[in-house]
Amino acid sequence: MTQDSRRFLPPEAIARVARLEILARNVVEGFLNGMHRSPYFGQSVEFAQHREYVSGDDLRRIDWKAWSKTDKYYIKQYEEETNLRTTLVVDLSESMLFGTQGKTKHEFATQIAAVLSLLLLKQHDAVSLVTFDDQIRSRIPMSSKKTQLLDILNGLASEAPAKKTNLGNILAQVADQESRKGLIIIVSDLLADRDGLLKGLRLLRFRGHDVMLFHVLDDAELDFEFSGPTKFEGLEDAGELVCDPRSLREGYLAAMQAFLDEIRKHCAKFVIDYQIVRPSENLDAVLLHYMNHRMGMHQSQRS
Amino acid sequence: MTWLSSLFFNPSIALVGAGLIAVPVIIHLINRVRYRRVQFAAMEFLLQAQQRNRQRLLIEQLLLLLLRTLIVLALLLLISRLVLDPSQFALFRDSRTHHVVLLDDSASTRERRGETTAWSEGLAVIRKLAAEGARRPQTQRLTVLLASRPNQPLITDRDVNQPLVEELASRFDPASFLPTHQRVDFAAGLQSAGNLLLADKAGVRELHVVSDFRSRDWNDQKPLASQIETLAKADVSVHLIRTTPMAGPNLAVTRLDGAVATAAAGVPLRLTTGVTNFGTEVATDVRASVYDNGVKTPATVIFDRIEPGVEVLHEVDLQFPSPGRRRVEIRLDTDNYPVDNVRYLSVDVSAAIPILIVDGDPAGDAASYVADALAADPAATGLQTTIENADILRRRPLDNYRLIYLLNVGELPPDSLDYLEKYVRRGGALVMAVGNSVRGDAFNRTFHREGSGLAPLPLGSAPVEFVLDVTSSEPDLKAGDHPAFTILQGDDNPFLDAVHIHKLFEPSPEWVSDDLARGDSSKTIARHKSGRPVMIEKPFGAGRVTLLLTTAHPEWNDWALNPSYVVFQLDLVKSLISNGPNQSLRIVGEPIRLSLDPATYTDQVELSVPEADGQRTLRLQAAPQQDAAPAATANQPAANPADPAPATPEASASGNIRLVVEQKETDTPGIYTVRLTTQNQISEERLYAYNVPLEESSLAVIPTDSLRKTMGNTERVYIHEAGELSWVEGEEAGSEIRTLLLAALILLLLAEQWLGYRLSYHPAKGQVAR
Repeated sequence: MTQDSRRFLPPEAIARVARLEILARNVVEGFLNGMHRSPYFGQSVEFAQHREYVSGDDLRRIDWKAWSKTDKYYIKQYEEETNLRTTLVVDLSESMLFGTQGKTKHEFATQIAAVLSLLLLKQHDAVSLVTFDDQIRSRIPMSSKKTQLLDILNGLASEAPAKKTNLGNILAQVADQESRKGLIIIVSDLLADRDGLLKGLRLLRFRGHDVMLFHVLDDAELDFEFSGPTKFEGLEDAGELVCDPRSLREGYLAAMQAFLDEIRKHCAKFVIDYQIVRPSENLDAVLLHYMNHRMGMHQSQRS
Repeated sequence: MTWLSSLFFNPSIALVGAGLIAVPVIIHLINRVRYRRVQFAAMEFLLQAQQRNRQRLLIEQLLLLLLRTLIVLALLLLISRLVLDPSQFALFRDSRTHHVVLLDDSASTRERRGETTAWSEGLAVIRKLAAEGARRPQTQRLTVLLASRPNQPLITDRDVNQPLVEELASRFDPASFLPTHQRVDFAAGLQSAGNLLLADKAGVRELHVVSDFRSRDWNDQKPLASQIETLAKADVSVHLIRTTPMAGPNLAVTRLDGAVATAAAGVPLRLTTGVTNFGTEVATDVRASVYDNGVKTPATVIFDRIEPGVEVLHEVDLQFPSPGRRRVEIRLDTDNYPVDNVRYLSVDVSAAIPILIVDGDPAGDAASYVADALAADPAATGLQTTIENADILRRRPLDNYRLIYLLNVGELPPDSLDYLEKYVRRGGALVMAVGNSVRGDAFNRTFHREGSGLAPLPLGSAPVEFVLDVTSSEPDLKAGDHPAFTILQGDDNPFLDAVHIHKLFEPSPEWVSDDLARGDSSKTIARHKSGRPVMIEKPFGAGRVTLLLTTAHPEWNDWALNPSYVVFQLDLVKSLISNGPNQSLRIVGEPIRLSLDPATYTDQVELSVPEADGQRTLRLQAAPQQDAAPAATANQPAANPADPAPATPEASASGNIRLVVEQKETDTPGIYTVRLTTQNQISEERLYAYNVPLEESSLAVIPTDSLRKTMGNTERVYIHEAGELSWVEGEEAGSEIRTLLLAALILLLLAEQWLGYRLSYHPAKGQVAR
């Protein structure tokens, strides 16, 4: 394993991922095809239930054996088992370089992407990667080959965060390129144009994609526990400010809370999995929390 | 620096500390420059918060800055000791200063309060002044005056340094250095102190009046206030330093006297004793013991109840078995002010009091009536009468007699008259009564001589006779206000009303009957109901003459047959013999001055002085001196005719040369004994009783308000309470604003903490943005 892979997939993380896999199996059908319950009913190998034929149903799905026994037309329904097409969209803008717990948001975001890639590839699902700042920096095409993980890790490592974020545009491009429905996992601090972001998310949902949003925010950004005279130099040319952070903390937290509320509200509206993750948290805890959340959402959708 | 000095007790701290006021601003500016750099991603929200709170933050930060600046300022003012009233500054600053201390050493400073006295406190003040002054050597000078003798400074213009402090510690030890028993004259003290200070033009001048500030000395004393004001106007700072906060209770023996001149062996001598309560609470069961020659007598005077501020008198009879000089004293139990718990009296007890009765009519019986009245039983009255004719006046020295009666004597030979006049002039007492032998012209020519003679008035040509009016109830004799009539006066005593006068010498017509209109020194002491004088008295030299214008025997009146006659005659003798103040009863401080006739006495004088632990004997040598003022000696004890010292006509053989000796140190109360030696080597003794002045017993202390009122609103006059010496170090300076500053500082600190807390962020535990 290369240095970069070591960087993004630390051994302890790999071990945790392995445990996660066992855990995921136990949870039953997850969001990954084959091991996880599909949210969709379709033609597949695993029978689900019978339903009485109604006009307009595909005649090919009529269960003739049931007709012979009951003299009634029943449609056979199966749980669909599809190969999940997952696109990881990872933010590599300059703002992701911020971090206070010995780990930047960028590092954490790439770790999340790497761990998810590993998890998905282990299930033989297709994974693609898109990294971006103000434009798409790299793209790893969809594949479920075993070499895909290495490609993804290289893709994550190939670009250093440098520029501003243009999420709206990026998401629109991703939506255009992913013609087939799939899962879009966005890992970003979302410190970008608000309208473009929301528009992009909405577009992905309109295109039928399932969207997961990992909102990476550092503890310092969420808690803002700075003290003493401080000069804040904004990343991505966001300006600078010399102030006593304690005196601004209240206002800052209020503004941050408003931002988070807005994102949370929007995600709830368009059924987007939204999770704030802190670099100070463990990766497995983040994924476990995410999967539980995800399952709950699909169950409610199915019913 | 000068203006800082006038505002701050520690101007150097103020000067240095002024820069500290800028510290909060500097810290603020440094914080603006020295900050931590943080590259931050979520600037959007930070800028948003800053945008929204900019104005509030600015105001709050400025307010916080202002509060912190004010805190530093308040601290600075406290440490550098802001003083609003520059006059409160410490006495001892670096400028040259002359301190003159006027120390009250009156008797009242001996009052004890707990373990200390006003005197000890006063000495402590001076020692403290010196100790503080010595911390700035070469700049302070000290002069100490005692109020009892302000012209003889104890310490004169000395540099205040460590050697002086050590000297004062030994000299001003209250165990060995004691105040006087006298009253002091603060006006003289202030005058002397003022002269010293006003003559000193260089540097700062401070006057310290260290006193117990008794009300009697200071209350409403405008002259003292005027003197102090004059000094204050001359830029002299005057410090009135109290040494006692308040007066304690005090009982004082304020009276011990009686007709000691008539004291005779074996005859009871009635003494009047008085005790005054100078406290504020009633005193009960006060007992005073009487001592005779240091031996306690059985007599104890009990004062059942003495109201505050009241003197209660009691009479006590003392009987001396033998003639001689007696030392009588009366003592109360010792209290906090023992000085006035004892009073002394010297009594010269005679074997008998010789009285000469000269009768102008040898066949008459006037003298026998008088002699019977005075000494029917000599042992009972102590009087010894001698009846002689007028010739004795030239044959015998008259000074052997304490009183001379001249009855029915119309004229005298010139030499007899001269002796008689000299006798009276030196203090002798003479009673004259008219009779049938008296002719107006001759009497006037001999005894009146146009007012220069012995007789108080000129007689008319002949006596006037009155017809007995049985229908009138008005008494013939109307007694005036005179000690001889004290017992006989009053409604309860009708004896005088029964006296009838049927013949009376009238004054000459030109003599003015009314005492006030007449304007001379003679005084009518009894009148006839018709208004004519019956008895008139006149001072003559140091003596006194009483003229009776009717007979002394029952020829022109029936008084001698009346019981009141004996009483009158005895009281008349007492009043005449005890004429004038008791010369041997003195106030401490009054010098003993003896003027001796060298023909009679040697120049060796022995003086026994009372002391706290007994008597001390001094041997003095009298110095010959030209007697420039013989009249002045009349006021001396030696002027008493019975005293062997005076210059009698016979004793003036040595011309006007006198042997003079003076003892000025008479501060200790008690009996002073003077022993003279005659040329015949016979020792003579004289006693002088010295007592503490009565005024010193009134211990009431003037309240500070009253003292301030007395001093008016004079600037540069400062009153310091007893026991408070912090002003010497200037500890009091700025105390009036110190409390305010402290309160302001606390408020500022609280406000700063509150604002600081409010401006900083204190989330509840676990509260973060989610």
